[in-house]
Amino acid sequence: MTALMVVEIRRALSRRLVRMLVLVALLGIVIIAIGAFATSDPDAADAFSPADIWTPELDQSSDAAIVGGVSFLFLLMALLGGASVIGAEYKAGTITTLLTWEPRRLRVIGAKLAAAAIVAAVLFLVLEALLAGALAPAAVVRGTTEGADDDFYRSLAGFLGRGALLTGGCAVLGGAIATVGKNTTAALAVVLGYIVIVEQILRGLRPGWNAWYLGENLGIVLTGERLDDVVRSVPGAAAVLLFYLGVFVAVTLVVFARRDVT
Amino acid sequence: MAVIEVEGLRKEYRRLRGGPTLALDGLDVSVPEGGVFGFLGPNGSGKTTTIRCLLGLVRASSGRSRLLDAGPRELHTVIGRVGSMVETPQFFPNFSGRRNLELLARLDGIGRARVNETLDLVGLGSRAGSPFRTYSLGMKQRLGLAAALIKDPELLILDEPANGLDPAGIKEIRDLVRRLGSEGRTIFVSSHLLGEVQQMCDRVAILARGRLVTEGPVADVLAGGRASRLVVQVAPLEAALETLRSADLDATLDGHHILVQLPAEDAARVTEVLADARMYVSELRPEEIDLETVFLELTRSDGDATG
Repeated sequence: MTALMVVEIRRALSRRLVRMLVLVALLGIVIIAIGAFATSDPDAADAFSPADIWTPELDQSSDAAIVGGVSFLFLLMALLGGASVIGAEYKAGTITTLLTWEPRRLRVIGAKLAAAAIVAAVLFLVLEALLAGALAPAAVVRGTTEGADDDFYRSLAGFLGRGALLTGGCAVLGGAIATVGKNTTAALAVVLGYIVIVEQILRGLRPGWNAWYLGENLGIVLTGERLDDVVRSVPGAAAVLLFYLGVFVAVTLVVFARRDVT
Repeated sequence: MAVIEVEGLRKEYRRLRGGPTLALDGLDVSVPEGGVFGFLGPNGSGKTTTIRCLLGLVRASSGRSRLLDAGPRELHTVIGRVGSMVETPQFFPNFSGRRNLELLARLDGIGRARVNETLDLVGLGSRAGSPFRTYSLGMKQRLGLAAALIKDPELLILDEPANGLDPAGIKEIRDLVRRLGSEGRTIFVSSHLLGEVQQMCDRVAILARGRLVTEGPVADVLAGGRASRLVVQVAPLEAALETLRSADLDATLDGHHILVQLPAEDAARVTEVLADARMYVSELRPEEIDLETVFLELTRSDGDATG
């Protein structure tokens, strides 16, 4: 199993799409850091501060914290990356070759999903740390470091931990749907279609169900804060997400184990 | 001991549209240990489905298949001793041949030296660094063969290994397969190239419409149970035919020669009869049957087996 997972991690890191996503993220980090540095005025009241880097509040009146805001993009990237790692396998037809080396299908799919989760989570941590680090000069040189106390760092570390778990989960979700649909695009279309269209419609029709929506629960877990209009604690939201993911993974395992590879 | 055993194997593919397709209809095959075993059949006869069932890629609807005495559920216990290539091998298009092979080899703890050695063995050493997507069909086949050989397997399952290769490449593969077979390994090879199969296989099985039509040593299958015949070239043909028939020989006209139903050891009887009638043969030889002829006869007589 370890050898299989190491191979899957190496393969994921060798994929052009994964490398391209990392490159795009790095470019974004550089642009955001330069922008923050250039636009901050040390003498103004709203000089760049730790609160601009990270604050858990999601309510619309507060300033959007950069690290938190960007993390939703990273979740999407993880979804795409996870779907691509498995979708590409079907597109290239290499799943046949792989199964003639390791016929235990649950091991194969388990290693693939685990590898996608590990790669996504580690990249999330590295990129978010780089982003926070790249924003530090703006606060130190052209802003204020007030508020960068132990609580700030503890809160930031908590966010990074939860974010890494969510990113890993998104990669698993993308991979699971791509396995069932045998296609990267299908996986993206299903998830984005659900979040952007289905859940929006449901919110309008059934606002009382908001404690069960993916978007709300993602928001609660990512920020580590309860939302005003959603009756769900952070552990509760994490449990809901874990349940959804568990259902998808279980369906994926059954489908993959029983599928004829032709 | 049989390294591959298939008993009453049946596979029905269920489709959303158009109803189920019967790919295997109670197939029985037994492949003994050692040597090269040819697996023949027209398109759609079930060759690849059989191989996929053996390798656990598709689930049989019913019947039994065993590979090195392991059923589909215990396949992982023997897969390290089995090298296989199913249809046109597929690898990651943007990775080089070497990278693709290294990733697979790592699963079995096989090192880089063995990867390079195998790439050289299949004649891909000089292009191993190029992306797989730039490979010709023949090069893809060679990489697939390398992936099958890298484990140094005792059983090699090859599905159309010569597909896309040029004549020189086909000969290379034939020589390689023969050599591997003579080393005590078992090579199970499906192919459309009947001439190649005839040259490299010790035993063959022919299937049509998902069923076994015949199986056995190549020579026995070629004989196909028919009485051996002699080809006689003589002039004048019509008079010679009458002479042979009047001597109670079963002779028929076949184009520009006469076929006489007699074993080779009784050829002197033909010369004697014709010489007595002052007719002298210019050619007298046993009729040669090739695998293609037998294959076409068997698969045609079994029904309209088509692709």
